[in-house]
Amino acid sequence: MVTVESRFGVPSEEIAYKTLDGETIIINLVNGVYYSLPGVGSEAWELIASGRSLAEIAAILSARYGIPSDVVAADLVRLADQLVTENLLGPDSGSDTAGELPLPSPAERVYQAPALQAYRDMADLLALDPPTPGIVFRPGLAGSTDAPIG
Amino acid sequence: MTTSDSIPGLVSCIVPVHNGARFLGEALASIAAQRYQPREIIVVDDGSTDDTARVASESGVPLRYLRQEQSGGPSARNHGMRMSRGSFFAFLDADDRWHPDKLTIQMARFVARPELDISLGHVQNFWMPEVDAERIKLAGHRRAAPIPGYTASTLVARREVFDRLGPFKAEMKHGEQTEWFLRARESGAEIELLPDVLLERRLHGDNVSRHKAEASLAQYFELLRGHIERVRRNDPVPPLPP
Repeated sequence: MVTVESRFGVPSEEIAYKTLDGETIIINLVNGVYYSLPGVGSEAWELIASGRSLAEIAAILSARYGIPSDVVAADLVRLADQLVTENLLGPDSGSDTAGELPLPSPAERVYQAPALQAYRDMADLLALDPPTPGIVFRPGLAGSTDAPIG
Repeated sequence: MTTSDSIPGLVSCIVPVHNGARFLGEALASIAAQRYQPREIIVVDDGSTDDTARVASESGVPLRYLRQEQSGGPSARNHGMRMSRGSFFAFLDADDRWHPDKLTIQMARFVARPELDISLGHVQNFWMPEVDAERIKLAGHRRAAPIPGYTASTLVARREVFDRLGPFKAEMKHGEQTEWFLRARESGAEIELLPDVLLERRLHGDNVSRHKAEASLAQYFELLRGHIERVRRNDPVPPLPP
């Protein structure tokens, strides 16, 4: 059960993510489903992935956006519950929580409750050759960039 | 289903290859063994420095051998299409093998469904001895079972589809096939994925996907981001210039 004291980790062999221009895109490499978390959701994801508790994240976002921390905490619990249901988060793996994320620019500092958007339309396209460096066993490859086509 | 269900001799088979001498002969033999005989087989040698040219010439398979400076797999596929004469395109990577009935099955589908633009099948991976540890590790894994084959090597497509959508993006070194299939899907092309295993995909120590996994991940993120934006705008991907 997700509570404000919960901490999480990202299963690195199964989940890949990248934040581009304030939007985090997450791919579940196991089933090809991918997700978008724009705005506050993107900040929340990065903070969750850093191993902070939801209460700690609520305090950070509350200060950034001037929103009561209990409101933010409730949104975070709801978001984390969705992320766990989608198998995007696992148990905390003791991630390094050092380092602050940069503040968004003043024009962007409007709080909107994080909203996870799921896209299930490309699972078959990504099934054959998922970009899964963590899954593939590498038997001492030379690392050549001049590899055969195939 | 027999060859009489479809019109023979319409397919150009394009085999891009770079330093693929080790397995090219097997790939070509699997095309030659097709019950549905293609119109032509075109080997596009992408700047190989090994025995690729000799293997092609000594394969005993009637083919056209084209050579280009090394520009990557998508560029080689595009070059093969430009030089081809068939009404349909099929591709085979030089380390993989087609099922003997691949073209028979797929060309029959174009007869049965005149509206069909693109036919695809499933892929069965197989492992060479040098990566046997991977085979053991993946026993029971979904990658050891037949996988939906959104890849050029299972594809048979009408020439008109490439005329309409444009070729593979030659500047992409990985993920260009996913990008093309995404373009096809977003354009409303009629795509059929058959349940049949039509391709045996060889996993060995030099698969490009092993070397490029990190780079391909970055390109997938760009692809997905563009797709998400178009879905939000309900705006299909524009075709590339031919």
